Amino acid sequence: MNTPHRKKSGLQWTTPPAVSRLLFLCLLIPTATRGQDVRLGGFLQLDKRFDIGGSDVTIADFYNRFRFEMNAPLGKQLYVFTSVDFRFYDLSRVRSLVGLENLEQGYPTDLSLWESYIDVYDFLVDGLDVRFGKQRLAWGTADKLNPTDNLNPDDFSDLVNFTEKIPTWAAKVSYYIGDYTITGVWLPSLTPILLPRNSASLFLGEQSEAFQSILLLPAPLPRNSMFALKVDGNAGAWDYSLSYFNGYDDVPILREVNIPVDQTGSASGSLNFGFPRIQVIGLDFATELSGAGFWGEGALFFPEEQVSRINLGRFVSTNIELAGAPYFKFTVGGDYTFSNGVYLNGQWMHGFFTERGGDALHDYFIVELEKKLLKDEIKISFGAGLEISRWNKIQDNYGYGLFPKVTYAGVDNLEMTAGVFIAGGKTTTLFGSWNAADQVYTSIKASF
Amino acid sequence: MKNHIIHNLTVIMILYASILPATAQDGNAVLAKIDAVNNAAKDMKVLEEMTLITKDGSRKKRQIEIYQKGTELRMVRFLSPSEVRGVSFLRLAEDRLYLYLPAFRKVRRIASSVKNEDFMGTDFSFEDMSQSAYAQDYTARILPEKAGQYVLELLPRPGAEVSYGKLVLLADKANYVFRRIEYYGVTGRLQKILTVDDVQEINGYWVGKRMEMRSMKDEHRTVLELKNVKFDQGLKDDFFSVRNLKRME
Repeated sequence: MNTPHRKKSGLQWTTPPAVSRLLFLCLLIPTATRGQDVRLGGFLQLDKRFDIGGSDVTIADFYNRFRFEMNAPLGKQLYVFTSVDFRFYDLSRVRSLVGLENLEQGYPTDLSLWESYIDVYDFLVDGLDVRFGKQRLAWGTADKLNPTDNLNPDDFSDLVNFTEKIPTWAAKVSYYIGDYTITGVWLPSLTPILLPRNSASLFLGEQSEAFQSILLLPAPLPRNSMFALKVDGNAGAWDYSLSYFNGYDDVPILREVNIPVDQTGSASGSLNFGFPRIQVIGLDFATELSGAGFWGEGALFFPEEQVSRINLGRFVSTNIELAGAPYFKFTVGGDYTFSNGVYLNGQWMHGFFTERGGDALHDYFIVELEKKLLKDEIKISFGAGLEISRWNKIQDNYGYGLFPKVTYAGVDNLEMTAGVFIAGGKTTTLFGSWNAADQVYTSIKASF
Repeated sequence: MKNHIIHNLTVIMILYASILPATAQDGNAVLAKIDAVNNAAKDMKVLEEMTLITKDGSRKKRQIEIYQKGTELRMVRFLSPSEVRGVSFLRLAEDRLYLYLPAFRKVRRIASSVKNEDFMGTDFSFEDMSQSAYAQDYTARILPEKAGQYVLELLPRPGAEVSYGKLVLLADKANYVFRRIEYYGVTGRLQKILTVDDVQEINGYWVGKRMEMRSMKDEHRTVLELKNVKFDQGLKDDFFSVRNLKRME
């Protein structure tokens, strides 16, 4: 999309299509909703990241973010929400003289409709709520480390906030009856995970650049759609839910390796990746004992066996990438605020988001301490993680993470953050593989 | 109908109590009447504007909307500043608290130890904000009157989950509206003082429309003004639900 739009002072300008679309939406939304009780909001967040894991400190190619939100309650039964996410990157991607003619390369941007949905309350019968559209479906009672939260894909685009998810198109029906809520969700198709720019290996392991990688998404057929059911209940001080998910794992898995050997003996080939069909039975609870919060969440995964083919000229071999045997992920944790205002949160997670198969699940112990000062103007938090990939030889199978952070919010609607993300450990661990990804980060966020 | 009868009986009891000589009452009886006046309405909806004032006079504004029924059910919606707009808080019981975070589209159960935190950076703690009745957590002893006001010393009941060592509460003798509370820590140090002004009778219920909480440690204070006070709106118990918590954005 290099369409030139106008010339000025002899220089050729190109308006990036993403920017044009954003401007169009900004102009369109207030016009389209005039006369309704429309509320506009959002934030501008400017980030600067420094990679400190290598021999030199470098400035990371990370995005800044402008989020524009509109919500409109339309009477008692109808509610519309839309948000636009506009990301603009720090570093130019110009790598040629021709690239200098392209504004998009000089100032890279991404634009997406982040969420956009319609709510109808008491639809057809009292107590029945529906939500159609691109939405976030947050399941589970654990704090961000939710093994039952499999409906939206993982958003790993920001390593520092690796627990985020991306909203996807879904139809959700919730029926409220007494202390129970029955929820049904249908998702027409799979949306894969989002990976950090130029750093896919942080989550998928090292991939050979000599191979072309091809993602094979499920065909857009009704039988390939995904669905889920959940029942939430309450018994005394205990909240619980039981859930079932039938869909796809959003992390690609190797399906086929093609290495055609030409007559000169050199090889070039392709890696085909697919997505395993899975079923997940989930159970979670949350309660309180003596002022402390406790939660637990377990997910029993039933994967479809994944066998990869390796085509090496005339030779073909197969490998089981994921066995069909069920495996169990869980998170248990608790939190407490002490009388001096110090907040403590601790969780044990068995199985990271990208891990699958009984033997591949590592254990993660995450602790966070937080203290607010000066009437919440300053918030200091210190997070730490310990990963154990194999218990019978811990000295060779541990990883660690340190996540200190300080936030200043002395001016209303403005938040300034500085922090460090450090991970390391043995190469058998996820944290160990993040050893070179250490970051110092700063951000300034203004909400409106 | 049953609620209506109980409500009428409560009002009659309050009126009857108000004509009794003070000497004939003990502290706990006075405190019970103060609680009864404070919670006389069947339900309440109110817009609260909070102004945070530092020692040097700089100010910040907060705005919340509160729905309340009885002493247990409460829903709080944050309206401003923008960074917290849409965040909502639900209290179903002392140990069933929920927080809705619109940025994550998630309702989280929160532990009642959150009462140890300040509420939105104000001089009110979560405990101060959620305490609408005192007799359940404190025993009261009458001290000598001051300027026509009851003076009660409140000490925590055994096992009560409160963070203060003592309260001194002053209430008008005429209508049992509390006008001042001094909050002492467990070491006996005065921590905060709440004063209540602009007391008005709205729809037959007494309410102080202006409150000021002053922290002694840093001389910071928070002025809380009640706007659009509405009583007896017919809020049903199931209004206070996780379903509505998510809908309030």
